[in-house]
Formats: sequence, C-alpha cells, structure tokens
Amino acid sequence: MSTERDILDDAFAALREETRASSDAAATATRARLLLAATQRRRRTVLLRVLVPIAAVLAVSSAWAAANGRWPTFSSGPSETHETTRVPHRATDVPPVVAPVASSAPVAFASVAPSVAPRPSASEAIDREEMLYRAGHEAQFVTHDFGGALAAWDVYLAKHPRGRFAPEARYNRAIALLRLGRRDEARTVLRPFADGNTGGYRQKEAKELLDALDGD
Amino acid sequence: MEGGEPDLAERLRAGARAALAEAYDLHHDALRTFARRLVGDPLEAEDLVHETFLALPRAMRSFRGDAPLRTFLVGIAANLARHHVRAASRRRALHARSSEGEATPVPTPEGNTQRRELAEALVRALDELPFEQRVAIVLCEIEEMTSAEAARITGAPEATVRTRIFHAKKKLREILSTRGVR
Repeated sequence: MSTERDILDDAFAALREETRASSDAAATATRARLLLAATQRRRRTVLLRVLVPIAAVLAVSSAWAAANGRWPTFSSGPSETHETTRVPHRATDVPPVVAPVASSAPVAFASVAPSVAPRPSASEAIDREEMLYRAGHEAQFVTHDFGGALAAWDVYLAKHPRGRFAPEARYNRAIALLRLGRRDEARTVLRPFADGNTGGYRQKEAKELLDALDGD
Repeated sequence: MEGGEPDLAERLRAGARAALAEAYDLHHDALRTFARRLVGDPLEAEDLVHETFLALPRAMRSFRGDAPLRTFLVGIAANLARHHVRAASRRRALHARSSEGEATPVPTPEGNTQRRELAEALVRALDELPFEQRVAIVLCEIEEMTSAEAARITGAPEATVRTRIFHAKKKLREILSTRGVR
C-alpha cells in the first residue's frame, strides 16, 4: 500500500527515468540547426555593423550639407541625385531560389547557404520554418547524416505539417529512410507521391523507386 | 573539462562558432534531459535546447565562472522555458479533451508502461502549477539539485525555492490523489 508521499517520490523517479534516454538523431539535427542560425545571425550582425556607421555618416553629412546649403552634385546637370538616400541594403547575400531543390544532387541548393524564397521575409515565423527545413537539408545533402536528417524532417513536419516545404520534406524523409535501410517505411511514404497525391511532385521518381524496391 | 572552461567561456563571449559547437557537444545531453523534464514534450524541449544554445554567446556577458557552464545553461533554459511550457501544456490539454470518451487499453503489468503512465500523470499535474513552482520541483526533485543550486539557477532566495517546493508538492499530491493515481 503506497502512501501519498511514496506516490510523489515514485512519480518523480518515473519522470526522471522516462526522460533519461536521449535521441542522437534529434541532437544531430538540433546541432545543425543551431550552427546554421548562429552563422546567419553573425552575418546579420556584420551587415549591421557596416551599414549603421555608413548610414550615420551619410545622415550627418546630409544634415551638415542641408544646414550649409551645400548638397553634393554628382552630375553636371541641374538635377541632383541624392545619393545619400540610397543606402545599400541587402537582406541576404544569397541568390534567390524559388523552390528548394529536393533531390539527391542539390548542387544549386547546397552550393550556397540555402535560400528558398525570392526575398526573405521579415516574419520570424517564416524564418523559423525555413531554418527547420534547412537543418534537414544540411544533414541530408551536406553532412550525409541520414539519421539526423530523418529527425530534422520529423521535427519540421510535426511543426509544419502543411508548411511551404512539406512535400519536399516528406519526399526527402522517404529518401533518408531508404538510406537508413528502412524500406517498408520508405515505401509507405513514397506511395502517395507515386499515386500523384502531391500534385505530380516527384511522381516519376517515386514510381521508379517503388518499382526498384518491389523488384528486390 | 573544468580546466578548459575559462578558455571556452572566452571564446563563447567572442562569438566563435567553433566554441558554440563545442559547448553544444559537451552539454546538449544534460540540457536536453532537463528541458524534457521541465517542458514534458520532446519537440518543445528540442526547441528549448536550440534556443538556449543560440542565446548562450550573448548571455556569456553575465557569466562569471563561479558556477559550471552547465549550471549556467540550465539557468538560461529555465528563463526561456515559459512559452515552451505553455505551448506543451496547451497541446496536452487539447489532446486530453479530444481523447475523452475513447476507450483506453488496459495497462499491462509491464514496469515500463506503469512508469510511463506515472510520468505522464506527473507532467499533467505539473501543468497545474505556477511556472516558478514547476521549475523548482523539476530542479530539486527530478534533477536532484540542492535548493542552494536551484536558488542560484533561478535567481531567487533559497528560502523562496524551498517554499515553492513545499507548496508545489502539496498541490501535486492533491492533484494525483484526485485523479486516482496510485
């Protein structure tokens, strides 16, 4: 017969034991995501460190020029170009790509820091979704850590089951499963693609893969 | 790797990416375990781990080296955990409501099943506690830290931590008893 105090101690011990095991795959995916985010943050910081002083100098120069009636002229014509207002601004140094290349040869995608939108959005939610996708992509196509990639796709799809990159994530997940030798699970994931349930995306490739799997 | 921690701390302050990777490799397992115990949801816990390490370089400005880096990381995680706990708690409540009326399987006598159910019951009970009490309970009763260590992590006086634990345990007993957890 357990006392109430024992129940609480038992419950604490139970939670301690249940949470003791760690997932190597999740750890790998989080590591990739973390380092990618840290790199992006550093780039933004460096960019700000360059832009802010430039903007400050230009602002002070403009104010001084306005106060002294001495706008700089950059052409011989009467119309003056206010160069000071054109502060160079790039939100990213990555060339825009319309959609992620979810294939086993993602040269265009992996050769630069992956960018999957024509212009990165200021929305934090979109940044986070993109970072989750990139973590999986880096694990699968850069470091070839298929266990980590699988965990990353699971994280992405759990958070964004109908996200912008959900079809790509599902397909890549199937490939990761294949690479891990988990053929039956890969078949299950590939079937909707082969049946055309994803609007034709990767239908041909999925059919070929299933044929190859069934032929073994 | 105590001798190497001052050097690692300096490199973290300088924002070295390699230092962040090293800190992660050294402490991610312990931090993940704490995050799972505090949040009660593996996905939210993983986000918390990510957020904690991402915040680490900036947070290093206040790291004095009088406690291990691991303890410092747990403190950062405890500070950042609030919205993760809230999100996980909402998800559990939604799941519980949507599962009402469903037939639940008879638990097998296997120790692992009973242990898992007891752990889940505790996590749901922890959802009823104020956040500060939850943190205190997880640090002291599950992570098995002393109240002094928990006080350092939370920034609260040690007596406050002990009071929080006292009230939290009282409430947890009531909740578990009400829910028929044996």
